[in-house]
Amino acid sequence: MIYTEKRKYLNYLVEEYSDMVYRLAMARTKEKENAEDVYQEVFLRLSKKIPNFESTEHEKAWIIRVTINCSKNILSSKHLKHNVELKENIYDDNTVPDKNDEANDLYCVVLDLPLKYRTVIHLFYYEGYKIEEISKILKTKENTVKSWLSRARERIKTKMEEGAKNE
Amino acid sequence: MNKKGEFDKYIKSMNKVEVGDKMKKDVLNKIRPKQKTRYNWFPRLGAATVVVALMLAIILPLGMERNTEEGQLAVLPTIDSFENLQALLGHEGSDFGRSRFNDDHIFAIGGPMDDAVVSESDGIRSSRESTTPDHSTTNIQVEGVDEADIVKTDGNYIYYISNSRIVIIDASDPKNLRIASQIEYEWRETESFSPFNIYLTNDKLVVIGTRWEERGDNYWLDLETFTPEVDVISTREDSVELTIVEEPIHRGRRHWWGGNVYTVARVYDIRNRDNVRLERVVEVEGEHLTSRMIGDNLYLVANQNIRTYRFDIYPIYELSEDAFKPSYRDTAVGEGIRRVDFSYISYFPDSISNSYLNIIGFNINNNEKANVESILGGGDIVYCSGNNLYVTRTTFEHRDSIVAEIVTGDGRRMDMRTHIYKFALNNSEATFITSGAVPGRLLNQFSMGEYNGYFRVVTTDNDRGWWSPEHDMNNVYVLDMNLDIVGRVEGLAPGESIFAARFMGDRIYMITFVEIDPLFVIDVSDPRNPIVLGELKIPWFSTYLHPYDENHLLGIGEDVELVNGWVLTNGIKLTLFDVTDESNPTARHYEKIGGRGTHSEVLHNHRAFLFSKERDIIAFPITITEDWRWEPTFVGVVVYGLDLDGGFTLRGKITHMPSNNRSWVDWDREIQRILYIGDSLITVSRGMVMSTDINTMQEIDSLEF
Repeated sequence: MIYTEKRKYLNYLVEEYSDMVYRLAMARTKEKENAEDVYQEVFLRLSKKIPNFESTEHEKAWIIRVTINCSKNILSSKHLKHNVELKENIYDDNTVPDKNDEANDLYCVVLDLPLKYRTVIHLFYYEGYKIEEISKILKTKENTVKSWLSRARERIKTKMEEGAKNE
Repeated sequence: MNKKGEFDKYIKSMNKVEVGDKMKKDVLNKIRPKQKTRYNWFPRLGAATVVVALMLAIILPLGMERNTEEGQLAVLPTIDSFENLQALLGHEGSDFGRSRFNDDHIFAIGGPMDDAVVSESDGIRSSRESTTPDHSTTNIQVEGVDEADIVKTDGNYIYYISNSRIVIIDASDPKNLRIASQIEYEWRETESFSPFNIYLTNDKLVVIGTRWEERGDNYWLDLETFTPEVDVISTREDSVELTIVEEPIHRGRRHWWGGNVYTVARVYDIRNRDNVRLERVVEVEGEHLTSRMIGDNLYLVANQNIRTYRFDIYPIYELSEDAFKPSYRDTAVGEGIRRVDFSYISYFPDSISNSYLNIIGFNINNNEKANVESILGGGDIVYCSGNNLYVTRTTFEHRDSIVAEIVTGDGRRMDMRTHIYKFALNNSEATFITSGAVPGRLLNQFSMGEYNGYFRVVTTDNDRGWWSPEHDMNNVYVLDMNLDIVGRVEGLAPGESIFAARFMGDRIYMITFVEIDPLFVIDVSDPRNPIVLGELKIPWFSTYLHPYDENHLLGIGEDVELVNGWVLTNGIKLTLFDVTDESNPTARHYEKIGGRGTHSEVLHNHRAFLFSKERDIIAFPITITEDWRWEPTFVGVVVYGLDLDGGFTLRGKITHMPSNNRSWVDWDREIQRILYIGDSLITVSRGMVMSTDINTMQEIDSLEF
């Protein structure tokens, strides 16, 4: 679809990509507050410069890149301020979508992973990107993405098993 | 855990993470395109042009002539968007900017940087009218256009930069020199300020310097956070200008300290000299090129390199747009950093540079906001006439020699061109007016001059490149106020290059040199038809020409001798040129000082020169060596007198070196400048100030600091 008006196009972008941006931001920053900041920043940047997208896929990948970068900036600045890797305990209202839902355990385990691991997990399983695509988005070698993915899976597996034992 | 289905729970949970309508509305409100109101000169001019164009369309058919003067200004496009900036720099037309202002250059800060040099005062610099004693001022090029220097005096106090601090010396009693106060600058690891020049007005002291700041410590953060496990780190990006550890392109680890460099003016209230007070800080991004002060209006000129290497490493959407805009700060209107929008930055489609030329101007006596003008360009040499500021930038373009030979038959391999950017100065606002270009390169600020509505420039051109000086030739160009060439003399002194020039009214005096030194006298009274009136050949050269009176010029340069076909310098040479008969100039008097290895800052910096015709003083710092011995025999200043009939006489020498020590030189005692206040000569070195009686040449007092 071709939008002749910038305003309409922005409306479309917000409508289409809000959830995607916010979820990825959440997966990366773990905190609602941060994710909201990232969300706003992403669309602010988009509004400043809208590239000519070749396709919807291009558009989506672009926005994912911007989200990754924005969240990185937020993480860096928070890191600088507090000198700690954000909050350790993620099991609270701010993060978990529905705290009464027992199915949140995996969500919490994923969010507990190091940043790059939870990013590839999110892109691979939630957004459904292929390894090749992820490597392009992250500008990383495919092998690197593969190893991150497998290490992430291993960690999740260990964590889940530990969790099962404890119960 | 490796089947996709196992992540259903994650997907389920994540699906509950949703953006509410309110959030969407908020963000839409924020990003909705707004009608921008622009108050900037360029867009306004753009509008003016439309009107002009319309009028022309109506008037032209009636046979009226078009006034080109205004139409020219508006043609220049502006960058407008980040994408366009990147596109422009991606197809950089000239290799000049990239090599000249690359990022490593950032480390050049800290030491005092030499100003670009420029031309044209009446030369007689003595006191201003005031109740304070008669005193000297900085030797400048153009009357009324002050140039910054490491020392200034108001007749009672001396303000001097010594080893990165400002020393204020009470010299009202030459028998009792006293330090009134000092300003020191703290060196911090992430930020530092290095002062290297000052300006002085009645109750203000302005310290010009460079501030460098590291933007946060993400450099270390990056290493700690990312290096341990990861082989390639290419996803990293930061909106703030920081270090990049980039491995994909260069082998090994290279760090860029993406710190920012600012050219800074710190304005101090000095009404109470014992307790000076910082009043205002104005700074603009970029490396200091030069500055000028006209009345109360101060202009700083800076070159800001654009970090184009980031374009090669990162796609555009990863880069922070703001980091690529020129930034500035003025504490009179707030502490925050402001940025110049791309829509206000014009560029030259046929000469793209990967640096910005930033000029910030402000009135030091009021608190009106500083004005910034940025263009995509860069500068080497600056000349200021008072009403206009000219910034030049020399570019070299190689031609395909075979094609050139076939097409032109002259075997020309290289185009050496000097672009001239002209800015109008008006109440602390510098406004870009137009640009022009001449063949060749410029020596320094004295190679240019504006007079009677024309801009004149002398250049050394070479169609083969630097490595074959035998192909040098020298040219004089006269340009009109739109910087179009209207008159020229080309091909002067083939095989030689310009060593010095001075513009005095309708005359241009120019020294070229290889083995013998011709002085050219050029008449530019008819701008369309400049002519060489006379030339003088002498076996030495001058690098600085100073007007003595209307018929005489002082030349300071070096004596030379020919040894086995080599031209070797052999001491400093003072020359008095007599140009009474302009078709037959003569070297009326000359004086040789020292032997081979003798050096003086005045050879390349006119501000080290003290001259007063009334006081009969010709003085400058000097390090004298005899016969190329490494130990100097004298380090200090020489003071000469000049009699038109009798020639130069040495009135005396002043040194700060302890007399009992001749085996080594304490460089903190190397005199940097000489001034006079009343009947005292004042000399300053990094560690000492001394007063000397102007008549007896005896030391009166000295003070170490």
